[in-house]
Amino acid sequence: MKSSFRVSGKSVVALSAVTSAFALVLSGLSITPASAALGTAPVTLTIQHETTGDRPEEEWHAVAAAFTKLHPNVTIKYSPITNEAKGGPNLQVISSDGSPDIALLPLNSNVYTQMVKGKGLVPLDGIFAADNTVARIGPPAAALKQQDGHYYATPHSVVYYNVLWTNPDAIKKAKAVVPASGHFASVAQLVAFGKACSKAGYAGLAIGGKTNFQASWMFDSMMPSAVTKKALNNYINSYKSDVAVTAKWTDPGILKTLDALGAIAKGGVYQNGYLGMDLDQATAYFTAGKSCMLLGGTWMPGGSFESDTKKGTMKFTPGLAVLPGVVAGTKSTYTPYYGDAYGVPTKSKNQEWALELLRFFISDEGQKIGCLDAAGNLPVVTTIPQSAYTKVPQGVKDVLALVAAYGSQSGWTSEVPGAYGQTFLNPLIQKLQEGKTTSADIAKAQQAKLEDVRKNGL
Amino acid sequence: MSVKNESPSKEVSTSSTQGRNLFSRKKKARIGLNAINIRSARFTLIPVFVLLFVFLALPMINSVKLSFSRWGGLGPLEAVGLNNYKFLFSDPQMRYSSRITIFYAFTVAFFVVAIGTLLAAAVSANVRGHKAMKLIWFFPGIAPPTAVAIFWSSGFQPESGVVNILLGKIGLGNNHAWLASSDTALFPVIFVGIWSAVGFAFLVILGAVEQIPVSLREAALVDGANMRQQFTKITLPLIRPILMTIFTLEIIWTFNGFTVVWAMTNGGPSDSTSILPILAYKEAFRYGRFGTAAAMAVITGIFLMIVGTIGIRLSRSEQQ
Repeated sequence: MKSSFRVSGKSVVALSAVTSAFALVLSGLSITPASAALGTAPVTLTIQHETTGDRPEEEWHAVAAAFTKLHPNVTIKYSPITNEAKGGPNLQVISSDGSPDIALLPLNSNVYTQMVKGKGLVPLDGIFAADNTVARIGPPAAALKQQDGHYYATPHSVVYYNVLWTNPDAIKKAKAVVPASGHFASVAQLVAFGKACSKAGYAGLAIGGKTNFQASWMFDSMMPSAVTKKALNNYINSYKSDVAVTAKWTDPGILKTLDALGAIAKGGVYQNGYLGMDLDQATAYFTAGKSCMLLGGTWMPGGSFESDTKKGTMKFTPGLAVLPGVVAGTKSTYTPYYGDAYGVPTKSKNQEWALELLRFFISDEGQKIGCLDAAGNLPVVTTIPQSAYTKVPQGVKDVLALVAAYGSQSGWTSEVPGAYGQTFLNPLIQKLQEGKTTSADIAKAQQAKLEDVRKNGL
Repeated sequence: MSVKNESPSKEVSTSSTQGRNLFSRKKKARIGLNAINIRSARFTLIPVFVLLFVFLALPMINSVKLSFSRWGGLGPLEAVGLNNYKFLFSDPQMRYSSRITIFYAFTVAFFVVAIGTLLAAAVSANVRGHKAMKLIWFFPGIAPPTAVAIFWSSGFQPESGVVNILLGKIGLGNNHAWLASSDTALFPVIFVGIWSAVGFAFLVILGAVEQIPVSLREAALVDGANMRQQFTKITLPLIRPILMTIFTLEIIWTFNGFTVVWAMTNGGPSDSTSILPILAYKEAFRYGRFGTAAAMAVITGIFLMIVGTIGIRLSRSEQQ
């Protein structure tokens, strides 16, 4: 009996089809080199960045210069937006036909929430997998994965906020005392510090109380010292309907935190008129030498401090301090913020090139060129040795040293969507600071908001 | 040869017929011409109506549709019936914002008209320095609102702000944190609203005052009327219709004002200066509740239509 295996023409076609399909699936999981897959036709990419903050313009310009050297067919344009716009009206821009190719997406904003919900962003899984980005970023990357299992945005730098920048000259003249460790031991100690500064004609702590974020910043820093890690994790995740609520907003830890914030305001620690000042005004107040401390972050040394020193309006080198814990003896920490992230809108007309640029932006090379060298910022990846941090200002290095010694804790308002978190809580804390509401009322309101979000979504 | 034996009446009738024919031809020609003019006018108005429809009517229709929906800014609308309106009518913040917006709008409008009228009367009476007054009071009206708001936001700061410096010099203390207290923050905002709007009102009212026949004033002078009497008995009654119009317009413009309040206070502290446009902005862009924001806009629009209608009727009855 003749036995032979004949491959028919039909089966060849079928086999080819299956192989091609399989190859297509595989190619979606890996990145082919840009020049091979993307071609050399001229393309213009538009990148959004914030006008202020941690010098994103410098960062992007440096990365863009390096990228266009590698890909001369690419031209890059910029679309700066304000701090206010990035969290609100920008939603209409990045979901329109005039969308930029790379959009600014604050992770705790309604913009990001709605874009993810409305499938308005291109998944970044491919570029994340290709360069092991999740591992390079480390634990904070866990928060980037959405409920559908995809990644849609990538942070580019980490900033630390709730940093108390100090004016050593003013503190000396006021004969006020900052503990040697930099940590205020208690709210009472901070209030006493404020009173000593006030007696000498300085404000204790300058804050931009008018802003929609600084009042709740301090909540971020102090709350973890009043609750357990398990409770904190629940506060951060319980807005999701599939997570059981095990920590209530009316629990004692929250009430004590709010009481502490009220006590600091009542103790006259802040500058006169703080609820009518934004952060720029508060910063100018501090750099002009009118307050002993400023509530700020790591973008300041290379930003306003550097420029005010050059202008001659800032005549001192700031030191550091840390807010007190809620309960005497506990410590609060600086708060890392990875939140100003970037993604590719589905309305982008050059998605593949945008992905490639974003991939370069968050590669070790891109992070060094942009984040570290051009802007003096802290990179979001952990794979760049500290020896490369030559352009990072000394003040920021001092913050890193404190973080290394005492750790840091992500802030609640940085982790949860803004409509439930910062946007809702901040005006309530402002009312508390004014003495127009109580901790109990705020706690009840936040608990009711949690229940509403779990039931009706965002 | 036949004799035309036409009666005169016939001649008359002929001529009248001819006249009527001529008249009707002219009338027809006029009607024809009018018809052409009307058609041309309609034709030239079409682009205007298209623009009004696209940029005014269509957005309004969409806003009304959105007010009955739930929408986060992206994706399809979810119909929710009257839920947005029910929420607004029971929301304490909405009630508070409505109250302060009405107070803000009516107060600004009243003082704008009052100050504008006094200035116009003074300028028209050639009070010393009237030329400088014209310039000084008009200038705020042409400055960009954001620049005005930023200037006064600094101007009302304690110690370093110009207002507190002046108050300090006259012994009233220089440490008032006007914008930092929910009890006082609305007043600087009202002040800036008045300051920036007086100029326009002043010019319009001045124009109305200068339209008053000189003979009337001269007659009043002859009758022994002093300046105050001339103002109250002659000027005011004659310019009342324009005052009503300006008052109505200022209410509408101030009610819809956003820039100055936002730049000065962001609606704070503690939402104490969150007038309705700011509340709507926050609902839409901070909370992602576009449906509620649209419902707010619809309610505001209906209220302002009522105000505008009353204002127009009062203005017309004054004219009569």
